[in-house]
Amino acid sequence: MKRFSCLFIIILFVIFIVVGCSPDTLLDPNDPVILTMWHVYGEQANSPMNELVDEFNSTLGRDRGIIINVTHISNAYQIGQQLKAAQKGILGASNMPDLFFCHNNNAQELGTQNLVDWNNYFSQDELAHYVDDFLEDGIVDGKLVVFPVSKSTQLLFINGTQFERFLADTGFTYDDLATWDGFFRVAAAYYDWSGGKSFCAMDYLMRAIELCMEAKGHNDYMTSEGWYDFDDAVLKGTWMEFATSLVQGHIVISDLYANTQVMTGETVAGFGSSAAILYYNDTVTYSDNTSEPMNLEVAPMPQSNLDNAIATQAGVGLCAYKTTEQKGEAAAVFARWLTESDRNLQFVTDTGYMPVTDGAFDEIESYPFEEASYKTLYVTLKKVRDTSTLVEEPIYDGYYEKIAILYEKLRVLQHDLEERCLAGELPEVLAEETWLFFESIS
Amino acid sequence: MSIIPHNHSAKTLRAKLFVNMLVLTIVLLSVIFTGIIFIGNVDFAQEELHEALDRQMRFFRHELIQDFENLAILSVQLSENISALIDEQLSDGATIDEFSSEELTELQDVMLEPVKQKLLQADCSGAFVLLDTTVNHDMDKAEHSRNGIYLQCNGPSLPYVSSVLLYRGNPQTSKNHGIMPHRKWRLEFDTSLFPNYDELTGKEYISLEESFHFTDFFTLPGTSEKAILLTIPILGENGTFYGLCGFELSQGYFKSVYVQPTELDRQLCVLASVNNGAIEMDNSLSCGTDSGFYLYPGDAVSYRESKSGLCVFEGERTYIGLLESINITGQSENMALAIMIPKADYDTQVKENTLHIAVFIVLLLFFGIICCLFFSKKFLSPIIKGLKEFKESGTPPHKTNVSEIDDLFDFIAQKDSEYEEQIRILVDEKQDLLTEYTRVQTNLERLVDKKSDEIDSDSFRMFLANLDTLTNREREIFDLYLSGKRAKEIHEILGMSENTVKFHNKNIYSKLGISSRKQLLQYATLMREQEEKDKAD
Repeated sequence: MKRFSCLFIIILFVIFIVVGCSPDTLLDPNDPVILTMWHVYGEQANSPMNELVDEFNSTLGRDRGIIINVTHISNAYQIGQQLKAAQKGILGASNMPDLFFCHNNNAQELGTQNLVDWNNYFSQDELAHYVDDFLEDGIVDGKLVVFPVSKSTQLLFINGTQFERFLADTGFTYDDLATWDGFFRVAAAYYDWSGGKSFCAMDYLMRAIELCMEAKGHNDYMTSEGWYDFDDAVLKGTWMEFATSLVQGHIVISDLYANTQVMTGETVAGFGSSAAILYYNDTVTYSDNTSEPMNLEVAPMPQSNLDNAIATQAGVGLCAYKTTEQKGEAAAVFARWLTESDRNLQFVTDTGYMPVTDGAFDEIESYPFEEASYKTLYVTLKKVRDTSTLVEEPIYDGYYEKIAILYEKLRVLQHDLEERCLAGELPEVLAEETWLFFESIS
Repeated sequence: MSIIPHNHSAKTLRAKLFVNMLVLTIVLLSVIFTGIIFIGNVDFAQEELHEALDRQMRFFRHELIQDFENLAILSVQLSENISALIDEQLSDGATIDEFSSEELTELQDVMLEPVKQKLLQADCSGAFVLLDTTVNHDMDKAEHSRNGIYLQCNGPSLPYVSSVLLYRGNPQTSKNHGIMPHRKWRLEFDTSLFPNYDELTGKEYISLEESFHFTDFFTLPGTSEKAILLTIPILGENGTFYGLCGFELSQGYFKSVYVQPTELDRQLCVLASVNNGAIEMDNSLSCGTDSGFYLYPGDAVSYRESKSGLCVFEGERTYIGLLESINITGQSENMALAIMIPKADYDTQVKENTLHIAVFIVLLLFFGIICCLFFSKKFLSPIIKGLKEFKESGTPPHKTNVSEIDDLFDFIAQKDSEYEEQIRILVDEKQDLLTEYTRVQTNLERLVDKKSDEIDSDSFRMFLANLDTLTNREREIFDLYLSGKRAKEIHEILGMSENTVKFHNKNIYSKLGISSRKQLLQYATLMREQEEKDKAD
């Protein structure tokens, strides 16, 4: 018996030594692991994310043996499409990246079993530093697969120079843009004042309609299949409000991004992501090549009920495609580094997003912004955060594909509808046409 | 039969055989290894990497030159197309400078599709037409503003996406063609930001085929994207300069499209201007590998040649590789292509290769030693076994299956029997001698006894009693007489004269009471006999 005890102790000792001596990391600075990455920050312009990646590669990445290679920059919608193409191995599609920024619905489509669950790499203490709502937003099928790096909301960007001329002539004020009713009145007045120019280009028409309904306390407007319930009277009523403005040309569906229409003087305002600030030029250039300073103003999204202000909580998060344990560990090192409070603050203030850690959020008020437009943006973001409830965007399979079809069709129809309206057809009738088209998408 | 003990300092047969076989093995391996090296079948990391880099360089150069040539051909076609469209729009005698705003819009409308087609056809990230006019001549800085179209692929890092954006040009016109404005759109070109603009517009062009030109590297206005343009003039029928057109190669496009398939783990391919022993990465396009590696080496990268014949590139990171100049039409800078791999990779591979060769040699040696041990043992075992049997039994073994050894044992056996016969004879002779000796001894004793009886006992006693009175010299001479020496020999041995010997003799005889040498020997024999008897008692 004594002999067995001795043997047992020796075996335990050997196991202890072996386990104790095995490395606690799979990373090797002498044989770096390469992670390819697709992201959305700075498409067609400067990319603060690329600068951060360079910094990471030169510092912590070099020390730990990680190289991040940004192989694609695009917008969230395109990345979602291309991820699906890559996963299916469609001809011409790129290889799946190791890291990518996408929406929750994209993560769901890719399959959460194929994605790294960040809970496996972050302790509860570490996660406690992140904004709870943003972490919640990244949980799909019970797994934290979309890691919050930055969050955006939707705001109204205004060409201040032109709009203030309008305000001076008409007596309207910025406060009139606080509600949707006021917004539509201003849009109609601007259309008349400018000789037929649209007031606002909308990037996310349906999100505005959804938030309008939710602010009125109406949340049950979707079917279980993940598309709109066309028998819902509130949905139709809200749609008609926006559609009536649209068919009269007061608002338009943006061509691709609202900022290009504001920059060309086609519209005076654009409704889009707070991150769009990265793409606004300092000047507006008109068709005769004359230009003037834009004096960009940023306002919160109008509300349908000021007592129950709500705003969307949007923005992609970081996903890691599940391949090897080593890549998973490397991805976690990068995610942790990227969201350290100071770095996160610097990154989001360069890109127009909201930070994701409590520490960074606290510091934002004293941040020394270099550009007035960015300072304006963050004053507005703070106002939104202080006065509104942030709500998540819908996650349904195929939802955004249908939305893209809807916008594309409205984009084609809108000028024709405007002309017909100018020719005397009733806006309500034309708006009803748009509803019928909307209904036809299922 | 007895075995003669061997000399312990001598080497064993097995050790000698093993050493000889080992030397043979080493010589053979050295010859084989030298032969393999000589005919080039051994891959040394340095040479292997050099060859791999060389292959990559040739492939990269070939790919670039081919694509640049294709771009040049397409730019000629684009220039001719646009020139024809402008000529169609121009009324007789009018110049491009006289186009109204509406006419320019119309011109953009007809130009858009050909430009878009060429963009999608060409291996590039953008295509442009810059017209030598502006939409508003009265505007401030109108001399720096030029009308035209500049289209870019949407997402330069994903070339298969065919959507195109309007970077410069009329947005309404482009939207009619389904082309949306770029996020950093402007209506016209700012010529102060267009690379080499004055140089390109100020020269005289003779033929299109000889007029294409790569500009300096520049950053696309409003973005952080580095790019290079291939430009060609747009010339009217009479040679009038209408503007420039061409294609753009951006860093994002280059990085994604020129990724190199490579056997090397990590590699960087660079097209850059070089100056004073430095690569200006600010003025460069670079790409990584198709496996995903890309690591920017830093803005300033110096280079120097290493002993291995490769270039060492030192910036924020250290690389090693090849640098070759390339002649790009129109480039005022010294352009070069570089294929680089991280120096750490190079060092690791060289170390691993050295280790592999060392392990290979050690394994071969080990195998050789094992073989030597095995074969020497196998070869010597019957011999050693035979010797052992021989040692243990004292007789040669019957068979060892080694003819030479069997012959040796037969020879030993034959000699052995001969020796035994001789010994037997000697033993017999010895026995005879012993018998004879015993007989002689008996006779001698008998004779002594007889002589003792004859000798005067008083004289003998006096002899014995006075023996101690002899001086040392006399005793010395007395002992020499006893050993059988004569007087003549004694004076030679002791180095004294004969007279001196006679003098000592006289004294000896006088002291011992004898009168002759014969009597002296007789008494001495008796004395010895008596002493032996006393001892025996």
